[in-house]
Amino acid sequence: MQTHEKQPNPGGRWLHVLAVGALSVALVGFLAGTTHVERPAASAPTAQDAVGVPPAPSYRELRERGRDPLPPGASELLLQQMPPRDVSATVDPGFAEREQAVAARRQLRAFDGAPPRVPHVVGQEGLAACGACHMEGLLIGGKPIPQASHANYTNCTQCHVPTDAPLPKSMARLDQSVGSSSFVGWWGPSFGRRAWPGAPPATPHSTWMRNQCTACHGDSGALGLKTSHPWRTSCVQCHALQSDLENPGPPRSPLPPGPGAQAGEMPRASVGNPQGAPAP
Amino acid sequence: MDRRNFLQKSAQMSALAAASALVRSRAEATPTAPATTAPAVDPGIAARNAEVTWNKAPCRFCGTGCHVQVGVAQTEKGKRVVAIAGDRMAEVNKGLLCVKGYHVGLALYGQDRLTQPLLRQPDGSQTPISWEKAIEIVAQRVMKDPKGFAMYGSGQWTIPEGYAALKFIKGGLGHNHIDPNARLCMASAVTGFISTYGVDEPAGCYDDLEAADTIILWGNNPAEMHPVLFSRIVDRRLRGEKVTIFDITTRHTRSSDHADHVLMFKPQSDLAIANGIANYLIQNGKLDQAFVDKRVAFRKDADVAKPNLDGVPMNFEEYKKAVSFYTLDKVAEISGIEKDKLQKLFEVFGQKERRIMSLWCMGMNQHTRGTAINRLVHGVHLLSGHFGRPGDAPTSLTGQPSACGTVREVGTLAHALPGGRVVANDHHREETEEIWGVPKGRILAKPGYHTVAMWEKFSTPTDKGGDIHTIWVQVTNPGQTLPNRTKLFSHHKAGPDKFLIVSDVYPTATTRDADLVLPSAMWVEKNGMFGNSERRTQQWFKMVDPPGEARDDCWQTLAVAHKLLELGHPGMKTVDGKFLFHMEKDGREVPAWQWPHYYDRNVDEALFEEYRKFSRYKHKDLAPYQEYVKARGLRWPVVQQPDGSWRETRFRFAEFDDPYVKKGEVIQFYHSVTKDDRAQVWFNPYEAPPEVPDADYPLWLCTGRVIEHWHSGTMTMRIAPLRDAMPQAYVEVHPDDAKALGIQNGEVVAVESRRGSIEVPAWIGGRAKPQKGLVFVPFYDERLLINQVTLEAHCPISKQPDYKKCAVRLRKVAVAPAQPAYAPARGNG
Repeated sequence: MQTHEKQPNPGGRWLHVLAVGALSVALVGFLAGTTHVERPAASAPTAQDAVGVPPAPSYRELRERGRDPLPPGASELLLQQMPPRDVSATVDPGFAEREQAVAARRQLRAFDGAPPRVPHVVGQEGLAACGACHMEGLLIGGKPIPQASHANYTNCTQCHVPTDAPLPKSMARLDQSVGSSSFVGWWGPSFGRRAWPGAPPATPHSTWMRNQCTACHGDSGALGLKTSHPWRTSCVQCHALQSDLENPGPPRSPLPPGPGAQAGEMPRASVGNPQGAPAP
Repeated sequence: MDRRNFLQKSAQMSALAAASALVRSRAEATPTAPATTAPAVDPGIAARNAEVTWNKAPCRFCGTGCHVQVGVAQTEKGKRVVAIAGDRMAEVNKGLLCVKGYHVGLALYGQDRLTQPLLRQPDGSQTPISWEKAIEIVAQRVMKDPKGFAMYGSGQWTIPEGYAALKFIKGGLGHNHIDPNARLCMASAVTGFISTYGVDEPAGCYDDLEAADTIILWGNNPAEMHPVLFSRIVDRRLRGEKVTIFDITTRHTRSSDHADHVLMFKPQSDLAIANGIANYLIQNGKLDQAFVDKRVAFRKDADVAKPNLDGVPMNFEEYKKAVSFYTLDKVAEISGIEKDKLQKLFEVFGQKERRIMSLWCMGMNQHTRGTAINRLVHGVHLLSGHFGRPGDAPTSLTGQPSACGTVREVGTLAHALPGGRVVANDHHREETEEIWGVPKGRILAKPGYHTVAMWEKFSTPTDKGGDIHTIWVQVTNPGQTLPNRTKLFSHHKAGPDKFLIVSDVYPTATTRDADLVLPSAMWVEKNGMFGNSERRTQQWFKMVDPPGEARDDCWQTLAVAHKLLELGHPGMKTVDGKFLFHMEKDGREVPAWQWPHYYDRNVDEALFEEYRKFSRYKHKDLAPYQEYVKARGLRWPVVQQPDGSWRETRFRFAEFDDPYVKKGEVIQFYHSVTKDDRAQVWFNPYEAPPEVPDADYPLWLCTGRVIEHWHSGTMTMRIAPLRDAMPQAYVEVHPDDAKALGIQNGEVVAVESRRGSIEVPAWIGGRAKPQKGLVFVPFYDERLLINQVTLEAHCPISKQPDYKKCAVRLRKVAVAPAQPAYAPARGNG
């Protein structure tokens, strides 16, 4: 109090006090910031109960997990920000784009019909996150996030595994000491048959697990696979499914088998003789 | 938005997407009706491309028994498997596979396939030799002392392979030293079924997955280990069906993610939980009294310290008193589960209208009280009457493709004979000798060494009682999968007269220590038959040639048997002077022991038709081979109908489906051990495990699997999409434990037990979340052999070791940061 009385300019004094305080905070902050605080252990990302805003990952998590899948809810925010689709815009991919798209498909598959691998980190818990982006498909900054080509399954990682191990980046890795498979995969035709130039091509592949045409041929598909007429939505009106591709086999007849249907006469693949030895 | 909301939303979105699908493909709408005569080729797939020929085969990997369509084409490397598709005509998987199944074709083409027989030289190297020499060496090992020559196989033996091996040892060499790795896998399930129903294998089937409204996972993680079956459950929710899943577990797994109730229990306390359910049912008047009065008898071990398969009867009052100890409070105390969650589980069993399916696999089987917990789970289903209706069933799952078909049905076990028979039974031996045409008295009444004993004897010097001098391993990898590996897999230390023969397709932890390596054909490189977890027998044909000089395991057995015949071993002849594996075609003997003639006749069919004669005794009737050629597997008993057709059985002991149940009985346990059509409800108390964490070793160790890899990883680690997704083993640590020990995510730690140690990186918050105080290591990585650490203590009845719990400690290990890849210490093995 005495000091106060002696000073003619109390406002100036307060400024000094404030300045000292601010400096102290800055100093402490600086020192704390430069000191490496040893955290005993990374904690598991806990189940987030946050409503609306997705929680920000910590720097440690970012470092360890690399490119993260979007946290739940984030994709919905992105979806709201997406420009409206212009379905009337004509798309006219050329052969080069088609080849490129087909090659890109092969990158993630061991053979035609293998479930594609996932080119991003997959969270080890909470699998329903997949649906946030892949249920509908997205186009973010021109980069398509494909829609699932099938929609009847829940346990995504049953079939789809990441191309890159989900282990923490800091984890010491073992050398890969075993020889990889020299398997060569089969690929189906890249184009559908046309009756004449200009005719709508028939579907060149089975629709088994590929019954969502828009997954590859719609907005979220690669350019080379896109339909030139996205405003049309009844695909099978013009693009015939080929019954030999689609037929899952005749249901068992309720009638007694005919005279020709003796045991052992059921069609088998043209592999080898009845003993199964390979053809010479 | 919490997870539940999110799941619901996803389900709604998915339903919407499905409804508005632009194409309602007929193909995807409904799989074909179950057909026993489905054509072997899915016509949809076959027509995709004329260059590729397609044929059916069961998947090579787990016991689910999915059928795949195998696409074969001529490539620049010869005729090879080039594609795989889910088989839409298969009832098990309805066109779906898991990531392993889709890539099963890649398993054939690892660059280091074994293509020549290799003999260990004095300098330790393995050098190529001819097949003639190799077969001669095996035969000489037998001639040296047939009683000390053992065979060790697995549930990956095809049915004919296992049958040939069993007949070779028991009918040829005249002893019983043959056992499979399935001893380490589902032996407790077998003893559980036999002591409860008097006959092995589940009464229910996979159809229950759709009929049940409540699924109880007993220490089971089917989302990763039986993914196709798990999808059959959880995908129902997309169709608007309600399925309640209780997950009784020691780690929060991917299955827990889908569960409604996660009951995190202390290891071993499953015994208390099951007894708690029984006590709740009794105390609250929730027993299915009619079922219990008519169908159930009570039983206990005569001496808890020395339990056996038979036990002694007890009455209901005694049983009631015994389980009365297991009150809600007591069970909560022993198990560590919250009372309200336990209460929910108890109540579910008291609700008659529910349909409850219990599923389990290694969690209950790899248990020092494995038989006991299996009995108890059957018991709670029987007491509550949740048995014998579609969806009401206690069903064990198997880990290997033919654990049921080969090991349990053929009986490639030290004590067993085909079709549910045992060597200790005079009548069973006589029947078997008659079918095999071997002299009376050939089969030894004394059971052979079970797995742990066999390897212990093999690793013990001969002059110290180690009376197994040679083991011939087929289709498995004991060097990686045996518990306490240092002790049980060390024959080189036991003296120069020990000799290990290994038939395999790739170099493994076992072949590295082998004295003779025989290159084998695998999967569709040979004919085969498997039997899956739901009693379904499956068949496939050879589609491509094995690489180099690799040959069928079954041929190897036949070739050695014939070599012994040439050397004058008396066991290789039948009473009428023929070769033990005599086969004919068009009235002439086929020299199947000569490789160029092995496929002159379908050896599988010949062996299977002989084996089939054994199948009636326990009502496990098998149809003729050709019926399986036409089907995607058939579930036994397969019974011939008056019109000549063959009908499979989905639900055993239930009158509505099982033709062997007497009319009007509704439920009949016709193999009852008490001969009165009653099943046994056993009392087995909670007992502490043999090793529990203490001050020196304060943590539980649990071992297990991941979705990407199968068994010891020999095949899946060579498949790039699988290996890239999960390249190495790790130790899962609870964040609190990591914090207390100062362990960072990814840091290398030593997992140490009283038996050995390995160095392995820690993963905190990884694939699954272990409970506090428990660490988890998957066992598939041959570079990080966790079985240096595990305990060989086993169930006294099933002899199955407990890989799920032993005491360990973690120690930080410094790794130079300049070397991101590190060489793990190999322990003291």
